Amino acid sequence: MTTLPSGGPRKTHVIPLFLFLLFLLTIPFWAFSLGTGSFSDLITIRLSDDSVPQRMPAARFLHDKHTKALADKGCAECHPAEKEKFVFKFKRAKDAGYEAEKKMYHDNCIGCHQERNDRRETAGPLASDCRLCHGRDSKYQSSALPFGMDKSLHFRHEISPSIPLTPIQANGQENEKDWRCGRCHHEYDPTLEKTIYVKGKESTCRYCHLAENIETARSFQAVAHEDCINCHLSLKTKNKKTGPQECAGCHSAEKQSQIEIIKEIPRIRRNQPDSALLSLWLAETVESGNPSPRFMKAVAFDHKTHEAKTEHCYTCHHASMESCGKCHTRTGTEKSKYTRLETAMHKSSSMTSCLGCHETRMTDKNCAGCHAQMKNQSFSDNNCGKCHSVEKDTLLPVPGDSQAPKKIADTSITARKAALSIKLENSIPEKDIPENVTISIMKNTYEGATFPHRKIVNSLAERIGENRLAAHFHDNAKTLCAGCHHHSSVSLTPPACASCHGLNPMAESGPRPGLKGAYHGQCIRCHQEMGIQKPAATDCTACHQLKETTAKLSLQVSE
Amino acid sequence: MGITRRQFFGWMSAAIGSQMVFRPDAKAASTHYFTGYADSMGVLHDISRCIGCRKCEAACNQVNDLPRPERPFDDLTIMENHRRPHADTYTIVNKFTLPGVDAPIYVKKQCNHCQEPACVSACFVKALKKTKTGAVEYDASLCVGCRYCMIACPFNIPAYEYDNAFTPEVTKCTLCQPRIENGKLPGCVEICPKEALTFGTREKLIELARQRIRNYPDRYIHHIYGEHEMGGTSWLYLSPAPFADLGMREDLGVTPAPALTSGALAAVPVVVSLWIVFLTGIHAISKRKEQTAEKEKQAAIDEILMVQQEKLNKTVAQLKEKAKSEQAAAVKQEVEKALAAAEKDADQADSASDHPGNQEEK
Repeated sequence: MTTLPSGGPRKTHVIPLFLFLLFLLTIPFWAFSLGTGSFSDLITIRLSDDSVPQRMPAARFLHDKHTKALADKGCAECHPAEKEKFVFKFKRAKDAGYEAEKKMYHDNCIGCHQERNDRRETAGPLASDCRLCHGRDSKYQSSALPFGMDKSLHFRHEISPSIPLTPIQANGQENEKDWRCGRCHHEYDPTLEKTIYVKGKESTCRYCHLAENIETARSFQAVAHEDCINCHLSLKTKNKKTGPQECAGCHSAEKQSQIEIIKEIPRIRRNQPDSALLSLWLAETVESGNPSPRFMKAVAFDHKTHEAKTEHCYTCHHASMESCGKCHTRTGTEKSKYTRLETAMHKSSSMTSCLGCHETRMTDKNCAGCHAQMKNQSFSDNNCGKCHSVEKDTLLPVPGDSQAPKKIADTSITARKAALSIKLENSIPEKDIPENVTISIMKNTYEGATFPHRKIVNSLAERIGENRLAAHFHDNAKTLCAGCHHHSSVSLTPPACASCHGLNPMAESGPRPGLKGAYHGQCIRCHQEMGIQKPAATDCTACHQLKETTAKLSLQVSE
Repeated sequence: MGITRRQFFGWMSAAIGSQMVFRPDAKAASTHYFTGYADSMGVLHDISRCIGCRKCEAACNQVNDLPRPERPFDDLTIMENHRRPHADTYTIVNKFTLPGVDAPIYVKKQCNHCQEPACVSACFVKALKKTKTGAVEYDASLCVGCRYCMIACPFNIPAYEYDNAFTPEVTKCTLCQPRIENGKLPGCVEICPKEALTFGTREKLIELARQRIRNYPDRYIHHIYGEHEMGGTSWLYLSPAPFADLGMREDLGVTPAPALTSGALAAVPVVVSLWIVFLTGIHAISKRKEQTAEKEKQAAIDEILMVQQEKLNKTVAQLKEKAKSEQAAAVKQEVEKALAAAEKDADQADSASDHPGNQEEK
């Protein structure tokens, strides 16, 4: 056979071969890489001057892996110490600019790797392995979870014997030695030009330490790392019980789940009030001794209960530990971005407002059965009195007594709590709740449906259980009836569904669903929202039997 | 025949002008200003209400006298796979399980009865047409079976009876047009236990949909699918999840399909009527070109002839001259010869008479 002409099929073999060789070349890179996956200690190195256009993607490395490898040398191998505290910057106390930092990272990282490599120890990427650090792909994902103090962790710090007590200067005398608050909480004193601890002025770190470094304060992230870890490290050297010192300790899901949780936590001691009387015209009343009838009645706010129900003070006190009315005045202030108190308390979309937070409670499975079916305006316009309940007359003695508002709030809250203990069975006699109800007004393919009406009512009451928020807003047991018997005044003899829902489900007959849609809509959606699996929504015969005259699969569609 | 450039352009503009002035229906024929028939009907499918019972599929099968499917309608496991309408299935319900959402979401699929349907504009025999009730109606007696409608439909709806060898038809949801005309609801709407389907005028349905979004802002994506998609459809959808996650195309834009081609198609009559003028012009131009070429050719030939003639004349003249001079030379020669001969004769005569030896001395 003659030889193939050059440039014929023979050439095509070269390309796959070349690709295969390339493939072989890449294998060592995979072998030395960190391995794919997600890590809680994956750190992206960002140089201080990010305005310089960068030719390579930022380098990433696994911090805990380095901590482990350099365990015998300690943090000082990479982090300089200043005033007996490690600065968590690499080999420098202060930022030095783009070029200097770049050189420093390259020299020190690669230098150390090279040394280890020369000693035949396991080593990281060397000078020729640019892409191992400056990888372009997202093969490595950070699985670091955000972390912050919850009430339990805060309390564990409060009582930790490892943390030294803070001497309190109260009336010139040292007392209350059991406070440890001053170890972390501080505020800046401009006259002394340093941070000092002031008892009773503790607030969340986040007020001053924001997301980014600013002139007056480090970022929250910097503070959390530098202060927490340095303290933990120093306790470790003293052989005392201490907290995590590596990334995973706080940021990995596994370690977070292992953090000890204390259930019974006493209230935070900051001299906060048990209750407050929220009113915009209180100051006026105090001044004149004459409550104006022009404003809403005051709200007796149970501060103590809300403390127990929320995880952080900043859940409500979003910008400062001051009382709401300080910034949210009648007209709003510059500080509140002119958000008035009324808006601040009633804004649905805000979790720092009363209404916004309370509304999310209605998405709870126990509540959603009824509430998911109610229109957006779940708080009826006529419901103001549920919160605005302090009668103006009770405020008359206010001017003479600075403690009076608190007393009035306390009285109002006590009365309210007492009223909540009313149970359903006490308020509606069982005989007034029909046991079974049969819907047979519109039989077609199926027979009528009989359902255990009383059982459902009792189940709704049971689901509310000890929930005081729910109990407060369903103070009249008949309110529960309104979950289904809606839009009519609460009554033991509500009008039949067919009074309002017609048989014609055309759009032209208005926004109300037709009778069939209303029945099915209410029953099925309630079951879905409350997580009631049985009967399944598509199991028709579980509620109504197929008519004997109806052949299976022949639906009664009008001919 | 002569036509000047000026004349040609004159005719052209007259022709274009007449198209614009005398055809006021040109604009009406394009689809840009059509916003749907007033009071046309539609259906609002509230996806958040659907429980996936397939009753609509069963009712559709029943009212359209379609063949019984292999698997019964109460077999809900069929929804594990995503389906599309077929020749004998005008509507189907698909089940979607989205990550992070507990309950599955069910979406009904059928012809959307577009306001300005792509299938209608693709059909060149008018077998499909948008009726004033809102339904896109199919007339099998006109259909030639080209299936352009199937390709044109952005929702993949029209199906074809491939297993019918002799009289195959394109099939799709009819919006129960015959039932609507008799004042009844479409089969699927009537049977739906949850009123996940609401029948009404399209305008009312949009109003109703907006009201539902307003009343339950957390329940719905704040968009009515079909209000503007492809210029709007008679079926409208409200959904608790992004439409794209429920197999509904979000890349269709708001331009009705016919509008995409109406520009080009509207130019057809203009082109046709201008064609004669255009061709005449072209003919005149090419004719004129030919004439010019002929003239130029003649001129060139003339010139060549002239040059040749001149050359010839010159040669002739030269030859004549030459002949003349030759003749003269010959004459001269002859004369000289004659003279010489005469002289010789004379000398001979002298020597004979005188002394012949003294001849030279004389």
